[in-house]
Amino acid sequence: MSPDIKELFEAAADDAQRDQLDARALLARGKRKLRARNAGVAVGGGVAAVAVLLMASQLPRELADGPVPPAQTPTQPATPTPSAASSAPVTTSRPGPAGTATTGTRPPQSAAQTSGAEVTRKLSLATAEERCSLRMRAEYGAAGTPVPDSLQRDGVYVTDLLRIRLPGGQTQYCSVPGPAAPSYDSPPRDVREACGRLAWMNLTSWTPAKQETPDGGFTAALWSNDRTAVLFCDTDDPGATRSGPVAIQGASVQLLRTGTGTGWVRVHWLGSERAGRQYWGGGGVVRNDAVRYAMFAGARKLTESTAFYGVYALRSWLPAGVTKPDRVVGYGADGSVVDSYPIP
Amino acid sequence: MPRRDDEAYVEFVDAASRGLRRTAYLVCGDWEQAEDLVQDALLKLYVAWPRVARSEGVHAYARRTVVNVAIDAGRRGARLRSTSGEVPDLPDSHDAVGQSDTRAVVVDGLRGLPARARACVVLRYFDDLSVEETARMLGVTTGTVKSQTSRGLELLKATFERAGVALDLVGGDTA
Repeated sequence: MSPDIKELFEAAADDAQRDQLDARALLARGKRKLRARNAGVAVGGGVAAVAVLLMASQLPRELADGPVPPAQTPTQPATPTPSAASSAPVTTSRPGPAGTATTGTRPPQSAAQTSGAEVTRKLSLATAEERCSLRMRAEYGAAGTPVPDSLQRDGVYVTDLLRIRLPGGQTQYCSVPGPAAPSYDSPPRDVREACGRLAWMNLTSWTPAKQETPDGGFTAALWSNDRTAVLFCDTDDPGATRSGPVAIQGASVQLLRTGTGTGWVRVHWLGSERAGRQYWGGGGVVRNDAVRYAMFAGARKLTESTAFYGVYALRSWLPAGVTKPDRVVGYGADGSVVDSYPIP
Repeated sequence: MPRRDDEAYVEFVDAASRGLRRTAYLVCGDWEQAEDLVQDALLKLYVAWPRVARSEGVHAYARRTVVNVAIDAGRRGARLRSTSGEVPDLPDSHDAVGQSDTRAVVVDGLRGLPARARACVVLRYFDDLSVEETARMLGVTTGTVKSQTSRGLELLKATFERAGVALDLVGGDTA
């Protein structure tokens, strides 16, 4: 028998997992509001005058700090100016230190271009923590019990799902939020108890970008509105669906806390082959003392970008005759190669 | 406000806030926003308590405030962002029939309705208000409620059918 609409609504608005509102706290706020309102009637214009003065004194400081840039249009990821026919290195562009959004001309549309995605829902930190903890326990056991090999090896794991709407109306699911191994060189700790500890509370908005790998995998990167954090999602399984008890088999997620300071992660973000000429996205954690990364196809440098505390994206177009990049090279401050790995 | 009203207010919030939040969620489509809307409405209620307690009743006032602000919020949200949808609940081995997907379809379907139609459908079929009560709540005529409800149900049904969710409308009239 089909459910009736009341049952569907009841199920959709199920708030059993949500906290009850604190009536006493609301009462206290109501009392303050009432007092403020009564006081406001009494002092009237005096308050307004003070407010104007305060605003006037605050304005120069705000102007000096500069506003936090808005998130970019979801379907238009950060892109540098494309250089379709050039074989010269593609200049990378990235958010500036104050969070300045990457800008660039809109890339030429092509049949191959499928970039762009939008997050259909963001989670509160509390909800994310709760769901993350549940998922951790379900998949990897409680914190303090022996750490599974897969967790030891990978340091990343599926947490919870963030649905992403792709161009064309399809949806995908991305896991959120799970701390990643702090670096390639150090073993992960028992991250099962670390849900929510990496700061993503600043993720007031998301700027997603999407890369669909040739084998049907899926990668998405989501930037925080203030460009201080990024959520990186990667689904490796072709045709991954949510039909089974585990939402995305083989999915991994890295929440990279970016910026400067203890425990923050440097990342680089270069590129990957995508449908012939066009590629974009990709990257990972900066190794050792690399200050910049470049991507090569044979001896030909395709793109280069600075490694920094933060995440940026680039889109580039492969030079004529080049089908895909085959190597990423990291350079130290003195120009020496400190990292090099092939692109499979 | 006398002390006894403070206690009555607390009792009311304890009893009604959950239902108000669920209604707000169905109308605006976002739990956090729904919670904010309910808190704002309950704060307004506290200030207006002596007046509304004498007139329309505190629950009617609170629900009317929540719904109308949620409608406005939904309209603003629709203009400001194209994002919509809901994070599905944790999948588990017992969710073989895709209940969390169904919930997402319901919420998505509601979001696809015009704000007024969405409110009419929610008030009629979730809050079980009559046509007359819904009309008073929204400040519109009963004819508007009937037409908006009918339109909303048609759109919802179409959405559900596309998603493969069966819907039994026998339990409610569309008028």
